[in-house]
Amino acid sequence: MIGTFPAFARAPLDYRYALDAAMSIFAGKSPPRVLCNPPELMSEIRQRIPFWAETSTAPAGLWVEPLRDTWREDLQSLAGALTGGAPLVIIASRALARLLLERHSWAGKPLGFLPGGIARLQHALARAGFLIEASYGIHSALAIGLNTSSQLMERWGRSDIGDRLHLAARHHYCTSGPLAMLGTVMLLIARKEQVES
Amino acid sequence: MKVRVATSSQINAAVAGLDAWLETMRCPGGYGGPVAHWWQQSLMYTGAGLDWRYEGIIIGYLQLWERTGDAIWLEKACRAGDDLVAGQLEDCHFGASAFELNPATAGTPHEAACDTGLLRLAKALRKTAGQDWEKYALCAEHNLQSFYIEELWDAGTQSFRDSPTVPSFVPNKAATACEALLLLAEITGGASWIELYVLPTLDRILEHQVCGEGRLDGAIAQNSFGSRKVEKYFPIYIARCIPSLLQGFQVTNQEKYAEGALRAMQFISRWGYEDGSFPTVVYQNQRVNRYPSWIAALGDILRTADVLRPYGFDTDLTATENRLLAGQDDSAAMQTATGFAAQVDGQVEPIPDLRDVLHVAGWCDKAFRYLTSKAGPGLPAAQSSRFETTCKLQGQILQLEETPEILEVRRDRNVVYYWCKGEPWPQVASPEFWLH
Repeated sequence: MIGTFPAFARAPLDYRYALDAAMSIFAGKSPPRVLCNPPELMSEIRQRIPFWAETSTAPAGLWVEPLRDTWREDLQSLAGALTGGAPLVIIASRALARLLLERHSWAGKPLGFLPGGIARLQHALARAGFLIEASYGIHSALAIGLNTSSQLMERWGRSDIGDRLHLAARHHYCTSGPLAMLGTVMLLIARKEQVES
Repeated sequence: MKVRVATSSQINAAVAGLDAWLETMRCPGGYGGPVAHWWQQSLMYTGAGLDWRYEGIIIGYLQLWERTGDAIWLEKACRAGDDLVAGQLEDCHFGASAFELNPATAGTPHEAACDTGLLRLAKALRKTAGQDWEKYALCAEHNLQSFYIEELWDAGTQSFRDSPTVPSFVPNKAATACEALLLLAEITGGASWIELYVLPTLDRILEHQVCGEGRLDGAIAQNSFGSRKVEKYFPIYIARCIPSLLQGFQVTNQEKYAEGALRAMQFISRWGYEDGSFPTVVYQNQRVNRYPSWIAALGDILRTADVLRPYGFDTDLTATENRLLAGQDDSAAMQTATGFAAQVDGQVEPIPDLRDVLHVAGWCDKAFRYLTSKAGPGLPAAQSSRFETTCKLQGQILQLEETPEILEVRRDRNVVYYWCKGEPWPQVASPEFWLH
């Protein structure tokens, strides 16, 4: 059933935003193959995608938080499972995600924390037969700056300005292009190439 | 400015139209659709939301049944109640009950608002039809007992928290819980709910009310964390505190509750504009953010004003009612607001923001509830028609089209958002629609 995880225990917006964005890519398709490494995000995924593909092949894939130690095996497994033309959505934390208090207790070593980690993943995706269609930085550096300014204004007793800065931050929460690398979370949308028969 | 009072035929037509549009929002599990709000948006999740939309939908249909005598409206109220009963999870929560935070569950004040709808339905059925009312009452009681009392009740502060994990208090949300508990007490005859939970919570709401500070007198602070009050005053939320305060007066005869309710409404009307709108938020330094300037949500202010009239509130809100009615477009739904794009810089553009013209079940229910209290005895036939308009989102000029079957947004000739009504997620949503 959709909608089963309490709002008071929700994951940071960075990840929820990326998951919601992924949903339109899965809409109308059979359940995707899901590979989620942080257990803390499992319930957020389940309440959006109640049923996950358990079969050997799947028409779509969601890969949350590739890890430094296992990402190659995980990619191989996903590449083997996804059919030609299947979208693969990857949600990966970047170095700035270290600032998120909620994730301080999360285990695992995200690949995206490593300098060049995402670039390596992108190259490996291409070698595995995936075409990268788009990449986005979620919770951009600009949004972080605006939110910090908002909090300062609140502290100085100018909530009227603070709220406007916070609302402005929402509009800059997602970015693409070179600045995408500076978000807390990276959203990569790839597609498995069709094999000519 | 001279304003014309709406005729009963205008109100009946508006209600019939809203009912027709609400039918187009039916989906597996209930009423669906995207959400635009001050705090954030939920343009991506479009499935059933078992949140505060059910308060206005159930009570609205009950009012129509009472005012027209037509059993079809009771059937619709029961159908909505059945959505909640079927959508209640084992842990007592309602699925996707967090409105702008959907698809999360355990939404506040949303679950209490659902309970209020269920209890009003149970009360109406028990009184007149003798039908199967208990299931609705039991469903609400399970939620109120397991969530509000066992998880949110803070014995130290003698009030309902907004979260089991954070010492927090939000007056309008606690007020909604009080309304539900007052109904539960009435149905079960258990006066202890009132003594133990409602009256201490109403006292805490009054502690958040501004006393004697000129134009701010009567305002109720939006929330508090521990002892730190957040001194922001939102008229639509203050309006939602008023009914429970009045009920507090009715059960105790203590004038502080009626006086608090009246001062709160006077604060709201003092800040009203000539066009019938209100600022979205008034700050402690008396600066305001006027945008988004609500339309459909005005139903809650108008409803509250009505319940206060016997207690001496006499400000004419005809301009507000006209603004509400003028917000109904070809879809037959009420638009959400004007000036969403001016939220940040205060600059209103000639082209509306997409969120202004979006029709949201959890705002339209407020218009529906208010208007049904004045509708009848008969409603005209109505339908939801194709609605098309130019709008903007994140600086992009877009064409929005809503029909009873779909909501489609195009940029140039490209579809950038496509939601087939009934589906839990849009099939197309370009990045600007990921906006939270």
